[in-house]
Amino acid sequence: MLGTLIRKELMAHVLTFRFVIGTVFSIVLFLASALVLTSDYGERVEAYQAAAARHREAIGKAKVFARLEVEVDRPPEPLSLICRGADAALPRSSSFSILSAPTIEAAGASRNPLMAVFQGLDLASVVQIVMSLLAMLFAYDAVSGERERGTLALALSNPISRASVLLGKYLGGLAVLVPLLLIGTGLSLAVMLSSPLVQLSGSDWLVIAVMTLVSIAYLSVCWLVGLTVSVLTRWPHTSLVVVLFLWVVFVLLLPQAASATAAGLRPLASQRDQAASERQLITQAREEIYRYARQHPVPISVQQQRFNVERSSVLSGGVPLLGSLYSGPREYVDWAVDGTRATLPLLIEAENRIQGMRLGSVRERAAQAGLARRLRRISPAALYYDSSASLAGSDYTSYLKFVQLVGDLRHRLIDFAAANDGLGVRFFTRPEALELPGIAELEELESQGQDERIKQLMGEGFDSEPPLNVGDIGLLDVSRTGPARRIASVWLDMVVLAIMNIVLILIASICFSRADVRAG
Amino acid sequence: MTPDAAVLLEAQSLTKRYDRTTLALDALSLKVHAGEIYGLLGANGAGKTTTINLFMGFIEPTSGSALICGIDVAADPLSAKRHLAYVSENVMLYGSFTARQNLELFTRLAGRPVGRERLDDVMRRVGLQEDAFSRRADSFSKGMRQKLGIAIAILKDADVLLLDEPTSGLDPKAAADLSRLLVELAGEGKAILMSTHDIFRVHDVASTVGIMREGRLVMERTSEELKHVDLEQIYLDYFSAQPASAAVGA
Repeated sequence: MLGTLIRKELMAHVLTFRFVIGTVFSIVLFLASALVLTSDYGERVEAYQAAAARHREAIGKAKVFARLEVEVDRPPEPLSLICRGADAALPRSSSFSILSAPTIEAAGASRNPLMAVFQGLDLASVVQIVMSLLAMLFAYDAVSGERERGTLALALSNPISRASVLLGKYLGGLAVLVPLLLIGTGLSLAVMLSSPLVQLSGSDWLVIAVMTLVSIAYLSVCWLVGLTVSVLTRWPHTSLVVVLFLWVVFVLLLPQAASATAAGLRPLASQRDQAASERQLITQAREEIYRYARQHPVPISVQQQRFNVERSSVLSGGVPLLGSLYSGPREYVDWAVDGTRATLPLLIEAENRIQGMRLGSVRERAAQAGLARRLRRISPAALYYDSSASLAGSDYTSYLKFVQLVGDLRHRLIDFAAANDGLGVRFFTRPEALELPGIAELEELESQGQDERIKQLMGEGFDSEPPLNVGDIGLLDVSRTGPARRIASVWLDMVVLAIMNIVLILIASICFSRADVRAG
Repeated sequence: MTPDAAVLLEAQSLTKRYDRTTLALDALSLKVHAGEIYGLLGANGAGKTTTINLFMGFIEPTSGSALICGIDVAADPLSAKRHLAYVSENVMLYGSFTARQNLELFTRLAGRPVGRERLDDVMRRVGLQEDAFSRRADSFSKGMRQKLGIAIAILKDADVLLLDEPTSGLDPKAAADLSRLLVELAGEGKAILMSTHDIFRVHDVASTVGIMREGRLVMERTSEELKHVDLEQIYLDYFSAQPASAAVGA
């Protein structure tokens, strides 16, 4: 009997004009968005590969730690093809050095990271916006329409329970929507996989399977909303108005309202204040360094500095904190080494604190996004999109993890530098610089006209030096979050979706059991 | 109908009150036997459709019982509906399905699936043209839909037929065809309860005629008793002056 009811519902939908239009429209949207996203992803992968190679090469060329600028690129997430989430609006890389905290997104305090969710139509958006509307439009007259036409009374004149009729309508609706979802997703994945740049691993397929299940649960909620409205309203045109209103509320109003509420409840510190705090930290550190510099003036005269080879400063004004020095009089090298050991920790400490502030700022933003996400769970549409973004690894939390990782990488670099005299001699020069002749010897050689000898002693410059070997500390290793952790991150969303389904089924069943099924 | 035919449809003091002031049906008692066509006459709001709806289980009685083949509809609606077929004033089918698909669906819902040959035979019996069998039902006239409604009832092979204003809006030929089918079905032992405004049709086909007014059965006569009387005049007399307090058989 249930099979007959499901088959009838399926046929009744498939034979309608709205089904044909809805199917064609959603398939076209699926394919169009797959084409656009695949092209965009290809560009992102190529840009990432080029940037990563460039940045790896730059690390390989550094001869001293002061000149080691690390830029870590965020690899494009393959599943962002399905759900771009907040990912597209966030920076693709972060750069740091021993002397500079990692860069983070340049965002204004009022900017809501969830706004990015609504930019661009990805596959999850097609399901979230278009297929949810289709589900509601297919379901809105499932009961009220049949009641008005009189077919419901005729069907219920048979020995079938109302519960069976409602279950048939529910399962029949899923029998329409699920194949449409699977066909749309399947075609989109076929388009995506036609690009050699798109490569999905076994764990990606597992996550895609979970995303599909979440999509089915979401469409089931939408169908049940339409069905419940259809049970509760007397006339199909009333059902249509109510359903469209609810769609606008669920898809447009509630998510925005929840995000705005989260922004109000957890306001972010202004970016201007943070920049001022960062400037203050730097200024304080520099003041101490300049104080040290005043107490430890340059041990050779300006003219005597003519013996320096490839010299640059981190701070100007005779501060013993050099960015590079290939060779120089022994007194000058000793002064710079002692100065570096004394002043570098001050700057590193200031930058560490800035790094902590920046991480705190991203954490704040993530906390606001997290609160917004919790509030947005009242809307099945927002809940669905947010959980898809979490599964795809394209939510704001994924960016937070990247920022944390980059912070850890900087600490790893500092530890490595500390273990290899990188906060002393190797910060700005080579170890052999400690054995260079003193100023008196150099001036004597000069007076003897032994310029070639001086050149031989001082050397040509860093070009002849081997680079620092930091390749084995994994400064560019950015690993993806595993499937188990991603799936675990959406368990609550799945539970909420399941509860929404159960509650709606119960409401529809109870109301339908008491509903007037007579025509007219 | 034989004198000792079984009672297949019975209302026992059936009462329906919608709210404190609206008494739609007031202690209705009637019986329809196998082979009997019971015509229920009455003005709009007299309680005819409420009676049908109570037998269909679409609404719950305030008191009393509606019995189909001895089964209380309110207590066991699914069992009762196994013995029941329903033809509404305006039979509505699934417009996107063909006549054959509609019949197939409703016979399956009735738990009596039959083959295509049987479906076609019954459609011929009720007078549907062959070319309509595979046409979409949304192109059917009201008469054709009523015929399909009767076809569904025939295929369901129910003991009891409930018809709510079945000839309303039909042309004379279609109404005559319907009457002929009802008489045939009664001849096969079906108990038929038909609510209608069509005094002349009732006079022709009904074995028993009841007149309802303000939720009460104010008159009940057999066709024998009505053979030589003017049913229309009786009907009009009941609605002309006196309050609806006259007892059945008055």
